[in-house]
Order: sequence, then structure tokens, then C-alpha cells
Amino acid sequence: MSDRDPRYLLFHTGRGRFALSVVGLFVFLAIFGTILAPDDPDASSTDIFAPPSTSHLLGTTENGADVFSQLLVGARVSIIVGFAAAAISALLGSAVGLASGYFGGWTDRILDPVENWFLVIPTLPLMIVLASLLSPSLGVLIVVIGLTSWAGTGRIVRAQVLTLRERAFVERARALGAGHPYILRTHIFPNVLPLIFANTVLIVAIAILSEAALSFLGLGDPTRISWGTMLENAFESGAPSAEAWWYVIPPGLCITTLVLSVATLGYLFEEHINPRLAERRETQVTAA
Amino acid sequence: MSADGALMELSDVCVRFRTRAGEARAVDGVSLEWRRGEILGVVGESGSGKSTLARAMLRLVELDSGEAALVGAASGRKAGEAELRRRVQMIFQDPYQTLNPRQRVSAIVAEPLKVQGIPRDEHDERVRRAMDDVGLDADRYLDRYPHQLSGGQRQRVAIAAALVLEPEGLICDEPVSMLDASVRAQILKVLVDLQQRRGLALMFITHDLSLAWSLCDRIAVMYLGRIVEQGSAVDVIERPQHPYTEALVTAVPIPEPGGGGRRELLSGELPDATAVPTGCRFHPRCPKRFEPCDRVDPELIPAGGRDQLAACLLHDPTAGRKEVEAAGA
Amino acid sequence: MSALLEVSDLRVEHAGRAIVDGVDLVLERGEALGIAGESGCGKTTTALALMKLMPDSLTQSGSITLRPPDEDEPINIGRRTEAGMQLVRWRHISLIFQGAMNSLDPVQRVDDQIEEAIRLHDRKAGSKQVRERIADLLETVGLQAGLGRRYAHQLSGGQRQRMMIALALACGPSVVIADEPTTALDVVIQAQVLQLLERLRERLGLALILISHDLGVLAETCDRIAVMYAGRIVETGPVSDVFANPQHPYTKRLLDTLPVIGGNRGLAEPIPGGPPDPDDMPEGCRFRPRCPYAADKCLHDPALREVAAGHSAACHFAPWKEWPQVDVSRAAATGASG
Repeated sequence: MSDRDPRYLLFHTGRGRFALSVVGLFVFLAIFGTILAPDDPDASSTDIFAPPSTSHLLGTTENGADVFSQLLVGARVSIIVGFAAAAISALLGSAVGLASGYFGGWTDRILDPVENWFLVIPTLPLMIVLASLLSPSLGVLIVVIGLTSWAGTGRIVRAQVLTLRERAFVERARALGAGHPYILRTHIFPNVLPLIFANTVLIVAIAILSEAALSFLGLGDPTRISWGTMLENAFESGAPSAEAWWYVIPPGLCITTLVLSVATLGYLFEEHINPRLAERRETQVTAA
Repeated sequence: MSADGALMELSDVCVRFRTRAGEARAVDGVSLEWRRGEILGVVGESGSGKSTLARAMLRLVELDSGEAALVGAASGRKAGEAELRRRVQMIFQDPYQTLNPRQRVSAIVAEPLKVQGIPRDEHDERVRRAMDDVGLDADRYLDRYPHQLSGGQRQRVAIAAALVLEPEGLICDEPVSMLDASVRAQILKVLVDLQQRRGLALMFITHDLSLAWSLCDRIAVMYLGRIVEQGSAVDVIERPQHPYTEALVTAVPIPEPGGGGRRELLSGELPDATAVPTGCRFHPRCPKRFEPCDRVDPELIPAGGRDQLAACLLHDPTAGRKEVEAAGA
Repeated sequence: MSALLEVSDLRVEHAGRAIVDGVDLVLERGEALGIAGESGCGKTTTALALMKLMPDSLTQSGSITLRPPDEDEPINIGRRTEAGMQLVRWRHISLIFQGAMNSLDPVQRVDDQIEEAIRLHDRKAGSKQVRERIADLLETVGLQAGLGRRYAHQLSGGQRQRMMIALALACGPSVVIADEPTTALDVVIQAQVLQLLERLRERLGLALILISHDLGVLAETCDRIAVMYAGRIVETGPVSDVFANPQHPYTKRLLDTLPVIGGNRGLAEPIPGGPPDPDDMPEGCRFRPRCPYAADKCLHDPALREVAAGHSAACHFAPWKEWPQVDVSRAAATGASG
């Protein structure tokens, strides 16, 4: 199989295997975390800031709750927010990108400045403002992250649609009298899909990070445990000065590892699709 | 092998584009008859407007004025357009861009049937027949994706897709210029065989004069949006009546020992379509220009062989073009 | 007198597959050698190999010896390191790349680019000297001096191509390799560029290696021609001989199927199939599956050998006095559709 075959990239490269395993593991935890957790993550005890032991694999929090259990349960929020926010971003970005790229004219003239606005606005401050205005919940978090990240996808999609629109196979369809819905459905969309997908995977990484950041700042859902809320609680309760490294490092490490793995998957996917965009030509005007 | 009568008639077709540099007169008054069953060559350099003309004929770009009519078509714009799209098809230059990379060959070839609303049960048979006509084994190739095909095979698929509606005319825009020499000959053979078997009218848009010479019945030479000469291929190439045609013909290198030698090279390059010279548009580069050439825009008049026309004042200094609109351009 | 450029057993491989598979070339001073072939035959790779411009993924072997008239010692390109090659490139041998018109730096004025080339090889050159040289170069290629101050996008296609030629001549090399210099140019501009190359050869005594798929261009400009197929040279000889009396079936069939203006009208029977897949090279003669004259003997790989004065071909049955009447549409292998 070729160097760009997805099966090769995913299953036969070190990066691919690693990234796939990590993401797979965390998705698994997202689903089964609550069952696998040895203790109730909210259960407090008198054993506060206890270092790792046989009864508490990663020690305890400031309330004596089991860090390890919290870690397992926290995976769910990260994964849900990550994927859901990325999905919103992808949908919104693709719709806008397709419309403005394909129809041009007034559609583009209206949508483009809107897109630019969202692109230029500093995302974290915007997220903070929105999250603090609205009552904190997972849903709000997902919407906020989705709204602040769709513009990047929109831009990329628009650019790709602009080139596709001029391709001979689209001209051929037009020459047959095909209407816009047909052309969008059969010719444009399937050819932007790989790009949307690659971009969305990277947005998942960003979304996970954003959730962690917002939760860390206290803007997350207070009823749910996430790695970000763990970090928030840890810092607020003085874990660093209590030298409770088992409380601070694991959630941070989980965030980093998951984000890196998702990003790696995104880059691997790009490797898969990119050369296709610049296909090797067999005509006389090429090397060899 | 021409049947009688015209398939399409072009009268004074004009296509103009707005560009940053001004208005580009890509096609600037072209009248031409495309006859049934003939192979018509439209020859010119890049910037001559030949590709734009082809697109205008199929309404892929809008005509600013003039008419490109399918003879015997239904009247009324919508109906006429639909009929045109069924009876005339187009083949494009770049085999690597002409197929949707996400569609299988079967879907690509069946697409025209789908778009034109031909009943589903007819699809299979017509697709297979088209594949057969282009020399591709249906069972081997129908399930493939474009990236699994060579350049020549892709072009064959494009031709099959064009044939499936059983058109009367095929416009081929540089169909082989991006293919290797040995593959070119194969594709050309497919097209010419089809023309003979089905009595198709072919329009070959090309910059390759050698190709036009060997294939075409008639040739029209375009320069900067106008036809400057037309006639039978033999007449136009062996006895050119316009200085531009003459320059083009002598500039072609010949794959024979010595390569040909003779040369009256033109100076300069094709002007931009936004800056068309006054009078005869070729006059700044014309080695034979004389007094009226920068004032009078020549009309296409009979010159040379039977059916041969040239737009050059050398044949008649008074044969200026009657401007249809006053300042218009 | 030894030849200006001698190439012996040049091989270029990628992941075990040979793209150029044992090429020998000889170029004399002031001579124009044409390399003809279709895509995938290895001609551009050969050009790049002569300048040692191969990407790291390709391995190159074979000897390349350059004997420029202004050097006492021959230059063994085959053995030079990258640092060593930097002294040779452009100074003694230069290359006009395929798609050269798009190879000019879009953000630099063109004369600055020529100046850069000159200064890379002559650090001590005075600025007046350099400016004079640039003016001289522009004049040599038929461009007005003022055009040097322009940017690439302000020049027409023909002007850019001339600029690329000027750039290639900047350091006074004795060999210029032109890779498809006229592809994508209109026929009239093409004729102008070819005329220019011819004048340069006369005026500067330049040796030229011209690579093209267009046999007409080669017939017109070159003294000798080498025809490549599937990484090898299958025929080589003086242009007049090869065109008038081809000795390899590939050359012959190619010439048969080429439309020639003013010649026969109508289509000749095409060569069936397509160039071989490097992963799946045919046994014996590489052209055998498409050759209408093939026989059992052709399962053995024919060597390139001299079949007439200065004229070599890689075919068991050469020299061909005349070509037998066969059904050229039926080649040795069946059913190939290109």
C-alpha cells in the first residue's frame, strides 16, 4: 500500500499507532469511565491531599476524593465537548464556506465580512465573555467553542470551493444543464469533505483545550468533573504549595496527551489528502 | 463525409469580460457555420478567443451579443437550451481535471443520462455502448476511480460520457494537447472513428496546426477574437490568404531532417484582449501591412479557393467591416 | 580531442526502481543534442542528474565528465560533492527548467536575479562590470535593456522565457540544458525562441542539450538526437539520419503517427498501449509489448549498438533496410488500451 494510504498511516506508522491508541483509550474511558472508577469521584473523606497509595492510585484531592476516579470520569466531558463543539464548527463553517464559495456575488459579500469578524476576534476573551454572560453548562460551553472556531473551517472550505467550481468536471455538469443543488451535492461537496474532515479533527484538539481553559477559569459546568475543573480545584485549594503533584500533573498530562494525539490524527489525515490535491501528472510536462 | 446542412450557426458572436485592465473582448464578432458530419478546426494561439467561443456555444459563458443557434432547435430560450445541451457535447483539455475524483467511471458516464432525466432502466445499456465505442472494456473499467486510470483512459471516459446522450456534435477543446504523443494518436483515432461511424460533427479547438492539417475538413483561424481566415484545410494551409495564417504555418517545426527551414517570423506577441489595435487588429505585427490597415477593420471576404474567406485588405482595400453598433465596444 | 561532456552508464534509482537505467551520452563543443521521449522515459531526470540536482530520495550513479574549454582539468561531476557542484553549476553547465516561465522569483526584479547568479560565481565582480554584463545578456537574448527592472509578472510568456535563457547564460557556461523550453509557448513565440537558441549557439559557441517531446522542435534545432524509452536510450544518431531512416521500431512508429503539416492527411494507426510501469517492466526489450515487429528474440534485452556511421539502435533486427508490412495495430501484447 502506498505511503498515503490511510490504513498505512494509521496502523503502520509509530505516530499513527500511538495517536490511535491514545484517542481510542480516552474514548473508551469517556464511555466506561464512570463504571471503571474505583470510587465515587465526588465522595469526600478525611484523607485530604494524600499521596498515591494502594487504596488511592493517584492520591486524593483537597476533599479527600479519589483523584484517579476523577481522572477517569473527567475524560467524558473532554471528549463530549471536543467532538460536539467541533461538529458545530464543521457544520457552520462548511455551510458558510460552500455558500460563499459557490455562489459568490452577494452571498459572498455578506458572509465574508461575518466570517472575517469571527476570524479576527480573539477567541479566548470572546469565549470568556460569552461563557460568563450565560449560565454555565456543558451545552453553553459547546456552543461557545463552536461559534468561535467555525470561521477557520469556513475560510478553507471557501478557498477549496472556489477552485473546484472552475474544474472541468463541474463545467461538464453545467454543460449538461445540471442545477446548483446537483452540482453541490455530487461534485463540490464530496471533494471538500476530506478537507473539512482534516480541519475538524484539528478543531477537536482545540475544543478540548478550550474546555479545559474555560473550566480552569471557573466558567465550566460546576456540576461536572472535567480535567479542567480538576486543575481549577487543585490550584484554588493550594495543591501546588501542598506539593500535591498527583493532583496537578495527571489532569494536565491527560489534556496534553489527548490533544497531541488528536492533532496527530489530523496531520496524518492531511498527509493522506494533500498529495491528492497536487496529483503527480503523467503528461509530457512533468519530470522523468 | 459531410451530410448536408449546418448543425450550428454562429452570427456575430461577442463575448466580453470585465477585467481590472478594462474590458477584454475575448470574442469580438465571430460568424461561423458548423456543418453536420464535418470536422471543423478552430485554430489560434492562446488569447485568440477560441476556447471562449466554444464555451459560448454551449452557454457556459454568456454571449454579450450575437447568436449561436442550433439549427432546427425548439424556439424559446429554456427549451432551446435544453435541446442544445443534449445534441451538442464538449470534451475538455485536461484529462486530470475532467473527471470527478470521487466518482466511479460508471457514475461519470451515466451522469448525462441522469441529469437529462433518461429513464433508469436505459442507463446500463447506453453506458456500456458508450464504453465500447471508446474502446474501454466495461467490465474492467466501470468500477474504477479516475486516479486508477492513465491520462488516455481518462480522456476516453470523458468521451464516453459525452457520447452517452448520442449527440450530433462534439466540441473538443484541445483534447489531446496534454497527452503523450503515442496516446494522442489513440485518442484522435477514437474521435475520428466515432465521427465516421456516427456521422458526428466534430469541432476541434487547437493551437496545433499539424493536427488541424491532418484531421480537419475545414479550418477557421482566429486572432484576437476574430476569424481572420477560413476554408478547407488544404486551402488554408497550403495557400493561406491571410498573413497571420501564413506566419503560423511557416512557424510550425517539422519533424523531418532539416526541420523545414523557411521562416518569416512575426515580431512581438499577441496583444491583450483589452487593447485591441484599431483598424485591422493584426496590423501592428503584419509584415505586409500598408496604408489603410490601421484605419479599416477588414471584413471576411472570399479569397483564394472555393469556400475560402480571409479578412485582409490586401484582397480588397475597401472591404471594411460594417460596425453593427456605433461605438459599442 | 575529447568531448565536452561524456556520460557513461548513468543510473538514477528510486526505492530500487531505475528511472534512468544506463544512459551514455557524448556532447561535443558547440553541438546541439536532442533528447526525445514521452513522459516517464527519464529525460528530465537525466537533465537533473547531469547537474546533480536530484532530491535525496533518488540515488545516482555513473560517470559524468565535463571538459570546459576554460578549465585545464576535466571536471568529474559524478564524483563531486554538493559543495564541489556549487562551483560547477551555472559556471560551466546550466539548466533552463521545464515550466521555466514560472521559475523566476516573483518578488525580485529580474535583473537582480541575474546579478545574484553572477555574484555567486564571482564575488569580486565590480558593480559596473555586473551591470554591463547584464545589459549584454539582455541584448543577446533580444530583450530591451529596460525590461531588466521589471518583475516577472510584468513580462509576457515569451519575454520570461528569454529572461530564463539570459539567466542560464549569466556565468558563461559551455553547456546549457534546456528542458522543454518551448512547451506551453505559442507556435510563433516558440519559433522565436528556437531561432534565438540557434543564434546563441553560433555566436557563443554554446553546446546545447535540448529535451523535448516535440520531435519537430528537435529536428529543427539539433545536430544529434537520442530517443529515450523507459529509462534507456533506444536510438541515437545524427538528426537527419534518425528522421530519414529510423532504426528502432519505437522511433519509426512515433514518426509514423506524428501529424506533419503539409504531409499526409488522415490518421496513421497509433501505437497501442502505453509506456511501461516501472514496477512492472516487460521481460527483454522494453518496447516489445507495443512493437509490431517483435519476435521471440525480443525476450532478450537488446543492447544499444552501432548500426550505421554514428547511428546506434537497441534492436536485435537493426539495421533495418526496409520495414516489413505488418498489421501495426496488433502488437505483441494484446488488448492494451492507453
